[in-house]
Amino acid sequence: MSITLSEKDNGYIEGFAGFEKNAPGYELGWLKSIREQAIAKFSELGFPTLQDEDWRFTNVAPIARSSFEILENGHDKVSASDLAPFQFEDTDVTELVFVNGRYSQELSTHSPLPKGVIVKNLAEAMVSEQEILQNNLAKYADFKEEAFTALNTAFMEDGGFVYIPKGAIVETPIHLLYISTDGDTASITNPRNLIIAENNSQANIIEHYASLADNVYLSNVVTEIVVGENSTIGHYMIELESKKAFNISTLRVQQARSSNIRSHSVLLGGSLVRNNVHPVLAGEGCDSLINGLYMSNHRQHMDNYMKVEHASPHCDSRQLYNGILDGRSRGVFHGRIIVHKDAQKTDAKQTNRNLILSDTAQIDTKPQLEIYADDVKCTHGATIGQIDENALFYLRSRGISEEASRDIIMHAFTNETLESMSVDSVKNYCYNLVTNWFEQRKQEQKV
Amino acid sequence: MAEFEKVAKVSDIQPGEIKSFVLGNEMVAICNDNGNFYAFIDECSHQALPLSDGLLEGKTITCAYHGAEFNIETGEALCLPAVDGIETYEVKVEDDDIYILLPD
Repeated sequence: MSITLSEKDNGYIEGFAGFEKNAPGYELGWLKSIREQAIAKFSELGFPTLQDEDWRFTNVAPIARSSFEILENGHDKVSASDLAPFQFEDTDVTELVFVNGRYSQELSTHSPLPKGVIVKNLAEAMVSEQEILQNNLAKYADFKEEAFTALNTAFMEDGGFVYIPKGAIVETPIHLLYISTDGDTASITNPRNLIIAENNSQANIIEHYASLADNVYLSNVVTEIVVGENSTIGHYMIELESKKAFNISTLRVQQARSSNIRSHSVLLGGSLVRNNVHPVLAGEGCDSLINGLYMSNHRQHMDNYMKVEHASPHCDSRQLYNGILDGRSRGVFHGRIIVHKDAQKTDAKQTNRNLILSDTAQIDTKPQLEIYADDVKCTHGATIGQIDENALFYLRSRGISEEASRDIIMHAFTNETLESMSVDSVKNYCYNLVTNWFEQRKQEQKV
Repeated sequence: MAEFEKVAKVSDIQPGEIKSFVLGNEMVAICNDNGNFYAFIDECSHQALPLSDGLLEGKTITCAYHGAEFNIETGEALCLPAVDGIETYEVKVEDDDIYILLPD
């Protein structure tokens, strides 16, 4: 039986009561307590409004005012061939597939992994990996201050669980593919991913959100990544939701000493998208790259909120976000860097560059540096502009047509982000997505 | 290509009333001025607070929060603290249904 969630008449509280009893892990006292604390916090906080500083450019009233249903099941609507457009060229990949938020064993693929590496769905991990979960799940993503995180924590059912033991190096990428299907009503899913990389380990994990239909739904995602000492994690988030969907994602990373995270996000779909990225460089000597590309058209709204927290000395962070905006779309980049008092010798750099392709597109870019240490290097830069006429002239003077020249310049702009991806199959997949975006834009302009 | 979308029923909004509705990723305010319907973004251009909480008098809507006024037909800002206008939308009424066009 599906459950309806709505702000009206305490619908979220009523819905939680119906949901909790049948939720995976209900019998685990610690998990039950976390869920109940989370719904209480959500009820107290409510959805954010434009009067909240961190949400001042993104109005989530369309989400707050809508009703959503937690669907029963959507497996029977998806076949293996439906997934082909969303898969990478690697033949050797571990892929967990979730349909409308629920794990599908028959659609998933498990390739051989190094000894001790665990990749399974979170609902199963609630049974078999209780100790790891109890020590890590919901310990980092803040459900006490963030409403969408509280909502996800209250209603979390399933997602990806990845555990990489000490010293393990996972050569093949781990793909978490979330597919939404058509439905009669607007649905909600709360995917919850937990990735634990113990000391000296390495892996690449891809979160991928896509849709087979053009319907309204809310994907409210939370991913927690714990990176052990000297570990290196490559993380990718590819967002290809339906053009009518809402996607709110929160990535919370906890980095131990000398660890390295490379997080790349590509936002192309959705109607209203909010991408929260919050790494905490908790150990000395960490390195953090937060890399992103967002491309919006028509009336899409894409909001990127970065909160990079330097909590220890000698850490480096780089935020490099590029955006292309067309039509009447709106982009937001809020790049926050917090340098704690003891985080001396911090080296933090933030760059946001935006290419505007229409007179009606809009971008709000806001750097925010909060520095409490006194021996640091922190820089920020933001640019907003159209295609450089000098660059265009240079290409045209070499005999290249105007259309081809514009294509070259725009592709070069997107390639700055894509080039830093280390997994070739994912990089190539993203190149194709970007190329398709430009092609579709050209087709629409011809109409 | 943008298309008209059904948003509300005529009977939902009585003469002199303003109500807000979800349309895609936006909040749209629709008001009824003596049987003529007008639609605009439900955000005051001053501080983005909902115009649907305001007062409708003829073709002027007054924001309930800081007193900004707008022409509901053209979206023009009529007085401070608003300096920018608001986006208005084309409205079509068929039988009892109100349709709005959000341009691309």
